[in-house]
Amino acid sequence: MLISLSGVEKAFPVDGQPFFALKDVDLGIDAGELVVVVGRSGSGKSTLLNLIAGLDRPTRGEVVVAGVPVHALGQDALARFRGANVGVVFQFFQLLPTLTVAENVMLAMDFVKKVPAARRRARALELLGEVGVGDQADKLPATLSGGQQQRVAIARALANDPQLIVADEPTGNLDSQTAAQVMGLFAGLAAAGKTVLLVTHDPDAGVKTPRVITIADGRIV
Amino acid sequence: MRQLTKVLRDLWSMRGRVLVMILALSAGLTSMGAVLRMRVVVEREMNQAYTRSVPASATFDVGAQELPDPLLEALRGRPEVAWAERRATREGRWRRPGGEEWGRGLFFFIEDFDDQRLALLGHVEGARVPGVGEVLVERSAMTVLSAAVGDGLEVTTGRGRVVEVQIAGVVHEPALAPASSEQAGYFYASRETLALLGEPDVFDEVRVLVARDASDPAAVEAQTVVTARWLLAQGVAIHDIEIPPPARHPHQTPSEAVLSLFALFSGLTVVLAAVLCASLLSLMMARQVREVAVMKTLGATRGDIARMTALMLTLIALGALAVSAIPTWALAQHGSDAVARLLNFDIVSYAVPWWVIGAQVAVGVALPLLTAAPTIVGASRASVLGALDEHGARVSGAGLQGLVGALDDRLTQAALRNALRVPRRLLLTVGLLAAGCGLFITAVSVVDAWDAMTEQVYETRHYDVELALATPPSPEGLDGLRGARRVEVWGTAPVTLASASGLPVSRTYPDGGHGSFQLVAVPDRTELVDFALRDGRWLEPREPDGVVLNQLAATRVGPNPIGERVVLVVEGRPSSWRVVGVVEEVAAPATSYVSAAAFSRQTGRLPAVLRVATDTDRAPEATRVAIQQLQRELAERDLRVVRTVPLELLYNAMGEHVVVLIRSLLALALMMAVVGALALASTMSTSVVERTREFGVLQAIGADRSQLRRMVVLEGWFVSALSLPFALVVAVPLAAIVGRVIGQLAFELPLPLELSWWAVAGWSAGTMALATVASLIPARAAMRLNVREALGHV
Repeated sequence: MLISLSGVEKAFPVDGQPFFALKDVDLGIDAGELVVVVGRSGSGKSTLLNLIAGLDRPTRGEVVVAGVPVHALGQDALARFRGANVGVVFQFFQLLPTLTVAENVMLAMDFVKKVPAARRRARALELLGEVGVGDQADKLPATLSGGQQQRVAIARALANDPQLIVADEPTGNLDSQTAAQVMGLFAGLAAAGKTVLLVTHDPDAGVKTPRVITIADGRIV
Repeated sequence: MRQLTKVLRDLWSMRGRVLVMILALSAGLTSMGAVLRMRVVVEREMNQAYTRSVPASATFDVGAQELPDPLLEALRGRPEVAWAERRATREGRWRRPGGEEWGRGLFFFIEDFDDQRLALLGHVEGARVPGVGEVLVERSAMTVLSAAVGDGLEVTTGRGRVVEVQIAGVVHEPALAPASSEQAGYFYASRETLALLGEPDVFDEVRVLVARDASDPAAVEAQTVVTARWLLAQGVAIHDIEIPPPARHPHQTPSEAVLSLFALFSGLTVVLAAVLCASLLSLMMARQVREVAVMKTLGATRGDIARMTALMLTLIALGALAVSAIPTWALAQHGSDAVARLLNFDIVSYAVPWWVIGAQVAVGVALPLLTAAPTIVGASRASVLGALDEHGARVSGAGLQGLVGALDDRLTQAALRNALRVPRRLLLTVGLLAAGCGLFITAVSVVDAWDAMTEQVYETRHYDVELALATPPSPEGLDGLRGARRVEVWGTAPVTLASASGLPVSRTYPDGGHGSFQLVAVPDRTELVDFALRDGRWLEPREPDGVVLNQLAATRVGPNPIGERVVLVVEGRPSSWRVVGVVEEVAAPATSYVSAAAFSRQTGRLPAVLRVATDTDRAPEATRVAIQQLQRELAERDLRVVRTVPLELLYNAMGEHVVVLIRSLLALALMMAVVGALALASTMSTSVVERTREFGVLQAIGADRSQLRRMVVLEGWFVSALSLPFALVVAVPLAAIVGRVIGQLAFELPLPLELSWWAVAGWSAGTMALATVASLIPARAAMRLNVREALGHV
């Protein structure tokens, strides 16, 4: 099992009182699974993704990803964990505007240093080619369409060959045709052996996926 | 590599703000570097120039009994004496042939110009050795004389006659303060010319260079005392021993102090600039907060982010250092030259040791990093989710918000709330403006305070000219002087405080002015001076042994001198006095005031100095004419004037002494103004640019452009106005402290606290105007966008 959550709770202080975004969550996801987490806005699905990706820590419980107890890691250890094990794709792409498309991908490799420096550009071009934007490598993100930017973000997420890809509303800012193409990319990644965890508020987005987790009021239903 | 690329491109993408940071930091670094270089160059070159001229360690005044040749040879053979020379120094006057106006002159008579080994003269132009009836002129005096080599001058000394002499050459004596600041002509002539002037052919000075440790005050004094005792044992009468501070130029102490003050101000400027950089970096990082979060998501550690942020600032600092390199060098050279002119020495080399450049680089890089450390740490520590959720604005200061809410006008409310919406930014801007404004007001106030102090020359002295006569006048001889509103007869004589050795030792320099101490006879019921009494009382008529000291003299006597007895030595005769008061006066050496009757009893001579108030109401040209008229009339009455000191001369001399100080302080004030202005401009423009989308919203709900303009301008004015009270909190104590330091150095008196309301008004108007421009330019650009474009602005 790649991901294991047991007794996970996440609370945020609201007006001095704890607000539980997640309560008593137990979850297991195997390597190579494509999982879609759905739920209404505010249900706790993004919180779940953040905990699994090592972007946040639970108030209580254990989160183990690829054998690493993520809940127990400090800030820098979490950063190293993310760089080596998790590729994150955001709704608004979050490409660095002053770096070219290829440089955005290479920067992820620079931080983690898993890929030898001499191989980084070639790998970046390879990944960009795989997601269909290889011809845009030396352009700045602002010159690309939304769909192209999201493809670049996926290539960047793959830069360090992580076992887990997480994406928070990856199609939320795209038209339906482009969204379908992007979802196809994720499906391809899962087929290639990556574990893919997608969060969306749109139940239709996960129709064709083998496993859908629904969250309501901080609990898996 | 990618990190460097990202940093460089980020800097380029924010080039406007980066340019502001570079300019601000380079302004601070320029002032700091220039002052540091000036200090190093000036101290080294002044010391070397002064030492190279081999100033005498001590000068013995032996009166009318010139040291005979065998005794001089024996003196030169003494173990504590390296060399000894006879000389004569006379105070006198000069004027253009046939001219009316006399100027003050100092005449140095040298025995052998070819074998002179003390107070060496550097050859500048013309003859090296003056013939009979010829003089050499110190180079700094040539502008005072407005003369050239070959020109003739009428000169006269105290007891001599008026003789026309020719300027044979120009020389340089670095040990003398420049003639312009002393308002005097410096002349060098031979023994034969002394006789030609009608003076007794007597070289009444013996200048001595001690054999050991000539730069150690204690060693110099000890060897001088040994020499003095030996001379006394040989039957030589010693009237006075002048031991100026060894290896120190007469203007060295005030120059060092002033340069230290500049160092303080320039240091504050660079700190101000560093804080500005830190605040702008903080704004830059606020815009980059999401990027930081993304990089952390990609695996960047806190160290990676901190290194990138620090690299960004380091590159800016290096840019500032590069920009400041040439201005620093030029300003330091210009400043050093100005100080060198002020102190009358030449700079041989402007080279500075490597540590000076190293210090500037270290401060330039380290200080911004240090001041920005909280920002760097904050940026690196921000949690990924917190950073991704960052929206910038927060609501601040409930109290202030409440006050704003009480306003009726919604636009004014919006403007004020905008100013308050990012409290850290507001705090930094107000802090920077307040600091810049405070330092600016301080600098201008100190200059104003100096002016006020200078004005005291006129306010405390109600006469226009001091005329020293060759012989005491009879009371009836002064009746009915035309153009004179009031005439009083005063007296002056050089005096020394008896030292522990029992010898009359003074700290006077060979020019007779710097470090001198004088005894002044005050006529009973004088109306011509009005000095502020610091302690005790003024003199009673015909007071037999009471003495009133000015603050400089009081310092020499010791703390709490009232009631103490002091022994003053006049022309070798000691006399005991009781201190009855201490007064404060400017533009005078250390002075002890006694009654005219007591003066005559102690010195054996009648007062012979006239202080005259003319009836010209101090109109400058009319007063000059009146003084010439007075001198002509005195000559007609057979009263020969040997020295003329118009009050205007004292006033101008005070100005000359500090002209560099004033210019430099104003230059530093300007630097501070620039840094403060940059802070305001950058903050205001950032604040407006960040609200482009908001302008779209406001326009969408009906606001027109004039209303938006009013809103941003009001916001700028509010921030400027808010800084003013804080600036005054900085300026008032700082101006008082700086005024105290400068005043103590110059007069042993604190400068009055003269808060410059012109500076306050000027700064306020300037910042208001700047805030208007800095807000309106980006606001205009934002308003050019249509509503749809503005709403799409990120």
